[in-house]
Amino acid sequence: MQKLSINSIEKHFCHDQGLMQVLGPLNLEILPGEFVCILGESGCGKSTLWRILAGLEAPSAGKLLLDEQAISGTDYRRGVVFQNPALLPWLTVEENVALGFKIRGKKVPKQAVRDTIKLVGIDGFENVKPKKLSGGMAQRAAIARALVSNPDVLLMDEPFAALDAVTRLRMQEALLDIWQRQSITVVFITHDIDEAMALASRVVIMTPRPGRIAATIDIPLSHPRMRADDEFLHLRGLVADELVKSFKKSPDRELICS
Amino acid sequence: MKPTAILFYAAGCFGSLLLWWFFSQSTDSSLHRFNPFDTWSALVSFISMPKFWQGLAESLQRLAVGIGIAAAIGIPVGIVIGYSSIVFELTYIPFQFVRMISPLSWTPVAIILLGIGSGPVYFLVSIAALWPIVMNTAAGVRAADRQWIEVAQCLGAGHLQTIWFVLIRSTLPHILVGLQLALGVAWIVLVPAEMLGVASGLGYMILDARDVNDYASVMALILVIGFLGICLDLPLKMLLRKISF
Ligand SMILES: Nc1ncnc2c1ncn2[C@@H]1O[C@H](COP(=O)(O)OP(=O)(O)O)[C@@H](O)[C@H]1O
Ligand SMILES: [Mg+2]
Repeated sequence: MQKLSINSIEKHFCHDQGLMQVLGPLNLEILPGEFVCILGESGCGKSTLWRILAGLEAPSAGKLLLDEQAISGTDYRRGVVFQNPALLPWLTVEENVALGFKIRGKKVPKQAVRDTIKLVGIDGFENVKPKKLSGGMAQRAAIARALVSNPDVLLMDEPFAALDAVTRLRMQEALLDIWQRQSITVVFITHDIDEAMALASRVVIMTPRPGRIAATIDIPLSHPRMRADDEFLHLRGLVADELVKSFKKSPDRELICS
Repeated sequence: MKPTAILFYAAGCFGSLLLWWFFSQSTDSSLHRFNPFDTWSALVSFISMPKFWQGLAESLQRLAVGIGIAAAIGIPVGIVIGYSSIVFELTYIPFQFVRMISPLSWTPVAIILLGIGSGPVYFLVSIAALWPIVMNTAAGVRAADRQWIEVAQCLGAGHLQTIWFVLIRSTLPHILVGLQLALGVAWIVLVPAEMLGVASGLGYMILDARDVNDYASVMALILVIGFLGICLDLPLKMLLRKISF
């Protein structure tokens, strides 16, 4: 993968009261192999940033660069995982995972599809319809669907937020395992400090709306992480403090009158 | 199906027959001509009558062609209307306008354009069947989950692939409901359409029977038409259950 640069990106939305600045200006570089967790309170523009990274939304200002090349629109080499699995209910798990190849008019690499299904840990459920899957398994299938095309970067928007706490821990472990084995780059949106601490090699904290970068904290801890270790607790404290500080960094001028 | 449900369905049919018999017993002789027993003998005599089977086949064929034309036009048009809000807005008022016109009011137009024969019948049946198909297909496309579309886009789909891999399949249940409604109105329009310019089919046969004062046959044909309507609806209903998700 190449370097993904977010270059002075801004996003405004039209509201009744005028133009609302939701995001930015925001600068961030994501390096190959990183596991970046973007942490911020609800409504701070995380999903908006994720949609811009995915190419589902165009920024109002600024650019997205992949290896210094401006990019726009969606691209299967940026794999996306939504907050809910968003599997096509009329297709089986295997057909859902293979969908990208069909859409791009490619021959479906059966073995790669099977391998990816195994990698995310839902082998045996290839011919099951999504309705029969639990929330966690459905989200695994959604991850497989994004992974099977060998994306440069995996973009995930609070993918485990809707799961129960225990399943969420399991999913985090599964995702870390995949990240280490496949040496991919992950951009992971979350509003949960513990989730960020469990996963990230770097935590990026966003301010409340309009979302900007409040702080960036490297987490140079190997996996599996010991959540009771002094170093872990120290870093967790730093992240929490920065998050609290970020609340004060948000300027009051949310509305730009048009 | 629950046994009690079957019982009630059967009781409903029997009750209707009883009601029919009751009214045909009235002293008014014009009502008596439509009594169930004569109708039943007429029905039985149809079985050995090639002309009846021909008429039936003719009507079903017209129905199939008419609905086929309506589906061939209505499904693509509905998809485009549902997909593009510009096309939706462009077509909304004209389509609502034309939709409200009784299909049979097109009869003079159909006859002038297509002459006498099966042509106008096809035309009238198609135009009646068209609107439910267009409207339901368009509504189905608009009701598709936005995330499915975005998933397809993120996997590399353009407009055509999104329509082909997501929207057509997700809209299929709506299309089938449209076809079901279309079948209903087409069947309703077919009979009067066959009374206008053709010399075959169930509609024509009703007029023919009336002309020779054969009221039992009139009633028998009406029963056949109603029964066929149920029979045509049933497979669509079952298919709908199968493809729903
Ligand atoms: N399409 C949109 N139109 C108008 N406002 C929007 C739209 N999408 C998001 N917003 C607003 O932008 C803000 C940030 O939303 P979002 O990015 O979803 O935040 P988060 O994911 O951090 O909770 C919210 O106040 C939301 O109401
Ligand atoms: Mg969000």
